[in-house]
Amino acid sequence: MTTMRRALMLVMFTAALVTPVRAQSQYDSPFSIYGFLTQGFAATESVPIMGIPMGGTADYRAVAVQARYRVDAKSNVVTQVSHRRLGHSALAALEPALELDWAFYRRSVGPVSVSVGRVPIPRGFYNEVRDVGTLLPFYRAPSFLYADGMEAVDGVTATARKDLGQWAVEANVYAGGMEWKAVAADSAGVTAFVQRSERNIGTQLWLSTPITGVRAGVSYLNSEDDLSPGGRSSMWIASLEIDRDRWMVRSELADATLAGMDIVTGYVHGRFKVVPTLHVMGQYEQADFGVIVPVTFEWTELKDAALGIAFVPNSRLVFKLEGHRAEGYMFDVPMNRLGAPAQSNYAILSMSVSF
Amino acid sequence: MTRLMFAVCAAALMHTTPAQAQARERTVAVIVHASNPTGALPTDEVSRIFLKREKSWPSGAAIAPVDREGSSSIRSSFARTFHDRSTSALDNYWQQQIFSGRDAPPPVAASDADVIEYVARNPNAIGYVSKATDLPATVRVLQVRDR
Repeated sequence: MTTMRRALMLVMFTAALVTPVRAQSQYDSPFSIYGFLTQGFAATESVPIMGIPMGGTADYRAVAVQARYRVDAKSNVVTQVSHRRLGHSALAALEPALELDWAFYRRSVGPVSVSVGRVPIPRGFYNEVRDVGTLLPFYRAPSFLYADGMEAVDGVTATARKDLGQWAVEANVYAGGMEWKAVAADSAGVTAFVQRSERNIGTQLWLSTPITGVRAGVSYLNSEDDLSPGGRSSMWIASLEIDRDRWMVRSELADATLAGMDIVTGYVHGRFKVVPTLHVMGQYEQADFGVIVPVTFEWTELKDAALGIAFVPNSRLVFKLEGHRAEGYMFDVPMNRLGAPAQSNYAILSMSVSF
Repeated sequence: MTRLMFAVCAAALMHTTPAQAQARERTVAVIVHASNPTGALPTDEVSRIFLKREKSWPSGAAIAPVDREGSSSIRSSFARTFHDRSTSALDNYWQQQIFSGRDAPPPVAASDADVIEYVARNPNAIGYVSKATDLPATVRVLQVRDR
């Protein structure tokens, strides 16, 4: 059965759960629909990157529709399907026209919420909302830390939150199978691939401080990885946020060990509201790779500096214009890591709406 | 120089202007069903209820909050007074909750009359209206104390 048929059947199943026993007021409906859309036009001045060609592309889009059914006061069924286009990226061949993002049952048991099914992975600031343009400072979440895949786990997640006076702690754990996707550009060419692993476990902890808008977090993921020594890979992420409404700064630093490589990646980005409807944004992102076996070799896979401006009529509609300067080897052309890095400037104009 | 920079940053994070303090003077009244035994709640508890971080009354019954429309002045006033955030920050919070699959916002009422009707027919409901609104005997004002 195709993925599209599965997704449509799940949405229909969710809708069929709504059994009208009595006339329901607008407040009583257990069924709700949400969604978002981001449409962009992107162009690069020289080297193609992340599906963006020199001539530009409007085939840059993310759309999702979420259906939620409230079973009772403590449990919900949630499904989300999405459509995503990545321009001329080699990943585009791996993207179905319609994909099932999530399908899970969530129940609160005291202070703990447990979700079972295909569940979004709580990892860092943006893993669960990486395509929601009204929540992102730029078109996409920082591209290396939030690389394609690892968005949902086929298994179980549990979340608990505890308020401790003016502090608050939130703990998340998850386990199950997941996929990750990547584009490998080396001297032989550009290849996109999907890898799936079944035995993965991870956690995300958040600490909210008494200072409004200041929050810190740490995440750890341990994955089954046939390409890594010992068959396991791991990733740590440290996160810090200062969100004072008028201005916001977020930074994350990740250290991953996988496929025989040590990868350190991080970013810092910020947003300032000049006036409530006009925002300016800035971001710097870098990913450094290191190989120990068979020889020690280190290189900077990506540096990306970006500036942007956004017109925000309201919190559910955003127009962004952003310019990036990228340097490194993470381009959509064959790249030799022993050679000089490539450079390119690229821009994205986008509109995002959520409902 | 480092100590000075730290002090400036700390002051920027913690500074409350007189205008902000005035804005927190309550212009809204939190109401519950007349049969609700809850006497008084601190401000931060009311905030947690409307953010759906607190979901049960002490009796164990599920709390049924009702919010106001996003663009209304009363919602803006409530957000500043109880959540210490703007309505746009509150909207972003709910978008984050929705699109991470965690939760959905409370239902929304268009007017004080709609809030009163909702609370009057639901013993576990909680809502907020303008302080000047006349209330029927089926609902009562919940006392709110500072943190």
